[in-house]
Amino acid sequence: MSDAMPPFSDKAAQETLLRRMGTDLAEARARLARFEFEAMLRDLRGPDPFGAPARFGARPGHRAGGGPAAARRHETASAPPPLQVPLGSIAWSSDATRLAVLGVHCPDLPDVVLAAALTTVLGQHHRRPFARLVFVCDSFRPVVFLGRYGFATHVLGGESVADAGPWLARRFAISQIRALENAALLWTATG
Amino acid sequence: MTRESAAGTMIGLIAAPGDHAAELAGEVETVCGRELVLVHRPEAQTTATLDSWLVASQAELLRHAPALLADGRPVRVILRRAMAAEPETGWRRGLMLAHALTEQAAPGQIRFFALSRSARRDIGRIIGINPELFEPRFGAPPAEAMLRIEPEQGVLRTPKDTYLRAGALNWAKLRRLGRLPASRRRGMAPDDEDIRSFGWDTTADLPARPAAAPRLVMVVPNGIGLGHVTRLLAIADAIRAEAPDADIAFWSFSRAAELIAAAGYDVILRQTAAHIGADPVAWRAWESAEFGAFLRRFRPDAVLNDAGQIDAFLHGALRQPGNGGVALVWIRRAMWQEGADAGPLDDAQFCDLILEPGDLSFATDRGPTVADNAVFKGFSQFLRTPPVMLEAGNATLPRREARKQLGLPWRRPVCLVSLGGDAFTGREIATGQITEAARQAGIQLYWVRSPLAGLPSSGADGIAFHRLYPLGRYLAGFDGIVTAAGYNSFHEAMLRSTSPVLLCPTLNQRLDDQVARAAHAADQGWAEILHPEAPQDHVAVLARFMAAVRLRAPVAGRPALRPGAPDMAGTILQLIRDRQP
Repeated sequence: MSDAMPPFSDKAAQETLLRRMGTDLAEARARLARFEFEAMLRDLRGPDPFGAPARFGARPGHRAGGGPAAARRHETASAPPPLQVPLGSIAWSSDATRLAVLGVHCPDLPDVVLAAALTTVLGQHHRRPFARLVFVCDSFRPVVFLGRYGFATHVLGGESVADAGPWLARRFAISQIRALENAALLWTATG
Repeated sequence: MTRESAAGTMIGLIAAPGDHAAELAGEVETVCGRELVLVHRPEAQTTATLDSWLVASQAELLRHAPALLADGRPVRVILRRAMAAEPETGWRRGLMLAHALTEQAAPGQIRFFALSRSARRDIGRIIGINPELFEPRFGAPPAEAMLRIEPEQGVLRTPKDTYLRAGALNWAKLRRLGRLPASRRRGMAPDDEDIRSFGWDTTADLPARPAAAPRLVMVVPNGIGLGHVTRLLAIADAIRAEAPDADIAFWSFSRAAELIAAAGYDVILRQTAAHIGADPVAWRAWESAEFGAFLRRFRPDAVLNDAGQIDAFLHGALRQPGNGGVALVWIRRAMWQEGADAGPLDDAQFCDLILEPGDLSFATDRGPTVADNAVFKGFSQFLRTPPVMLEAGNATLPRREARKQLGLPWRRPVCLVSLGGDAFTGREIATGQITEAARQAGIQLYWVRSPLAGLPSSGADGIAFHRLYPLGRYLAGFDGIVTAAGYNSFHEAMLRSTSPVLLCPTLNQRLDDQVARAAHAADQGWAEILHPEAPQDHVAVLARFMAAVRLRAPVAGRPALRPGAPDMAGTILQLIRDRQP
């Protein structure tokens, strides 16, 4: 009688290998999310997490306050099916597509306040991803930062959350928009 | 933001994608001041703001008849003669069914039109009444240049022996550029005859577009750095310098939208499929639909796209009905990598104008734009200008003022280090070597990183980074410059500074040929190069460079060129003027 392990069938060996690869991949993704989360925290604690403002000199004919075009009501009457919304690189879930899509309203706050609020919300998101997030921003200020960590953004530029809600629902299948600072419900698709 | 519509008339257009008759009819509606909204499923979409419907064929009418009849708003239907491969019996039945709908509709709700007198007569024989002629008709065709149809299906040949695919352009634009033969060719479907008759063989009474201030849309791709943003800002500034009333909006896939807004322009921030991990097909459908709708409302004279190719969403949006009056200008930087895919050069067929911002290292360009062997160039014109750099708000500050604003010491030599959009990716060795060489030479370093880049993950311990845009205005404050060799950084360093420059080209197949650009500058004696791969004693190069910085010896012989953006602006505005009646 040999002490050798009983022979596996080819199929069983393949299944074992695939399971192990799946486990390894999940662990690698979780580690990568942890790495990204730590990088994000370093960024948020840095001197200018949202970037230094542009330092243009005098510009002839400069029109202050350029923002999203007023004619941004460009949505078509023929909206294609909703787009995917990413989970963000700081979090990992075995099936992110099952998570609801949530709008998070990002008001135009001082950088320090905004960084603190994002640290709280994204910390929760990293530890236990609760939704796929679309950041609905009053200004362009946080866009580069949020994009760097793989989050979808939309800039209101003067439009109200209530006005943007239906379009965001069509584009991203957002069900609710909540406030960044206190999670208050600002808009819901069901009215 | 939108040009005036006639009495606020908003038309819901229902047409099959790629229907050239709808492209031509859409132009008629737009020139008459009506605002078009494309509708694919009236039964499932919000259409409350529409005043009436225009349906481009009997097939579309039958497909959506229940919704249109229940809606109750007026419906104009263009009845068509048989299309290619459409059986005679099916065509007749379709016309009869369409006509029968008038009995179910409110009196006068549905009106029938035809594209040509022949269509009017033939269709009238079948349904018992002559449809009205779709009016107003186009005026005399502005272009007499006869196009030829090549034996290979769907390819057109221009009088200049260039080619384009028949579906490359909105036919409302095509009719301005060339003339399709209208005489009946063997095998041509009656509907094709009617479309040509409608587009090219009519005379009289389409009202002219009112002259207005130039209106443009800048499409900014998502680049690794800020090259696309900076070039388009420079061109937009030059356009405003020549036409102060110009209305310019940015459709930006670059997240540097805050910088564009700070420059005083309206920005619509978009996201690429890669940004949100979206299915590219679904993303393109969204982008084409929304960009097309934006163009119909904003009604620009031209769209400028600074990119390596014309994405399908963009030329798809321009082909949509109502957008045939929009010119497309491709800002196409040269210095592609040697052996790069030349396929995107065929995107010239979608363009009216291709503008190449000149490159000081053009002599070493081995990329496909040099030979430009594109098969499909269509009607596009080409112009190369001097290098394009941001000028407005970026004028060089005097040395003392630059140092004061940046908080730099008055006397100690300071060297700028700017390693590009993907700074520090694989550059840890260079970072350490630069730091050590500067320390040994007693030179202070001022590190900047792209406003788009995050903090480097390693290899940059103890380095304080600055994010500074625009950078060019501060260059006189530095005694030396270590920089990547992207288009903008390179040209600003060569044309706006006399200090020693060390070029650290980035090797990235997605980028331009930075190595060739830097090597040319080194050959000319304009700069030193820290080659990323060639065997080279980096320590010796850095020591030599830092010694030159310490000496503050100006570098002679760098070229002096006038800026290229005004040339581009003048050409674009002339294109717009030429297209006005």
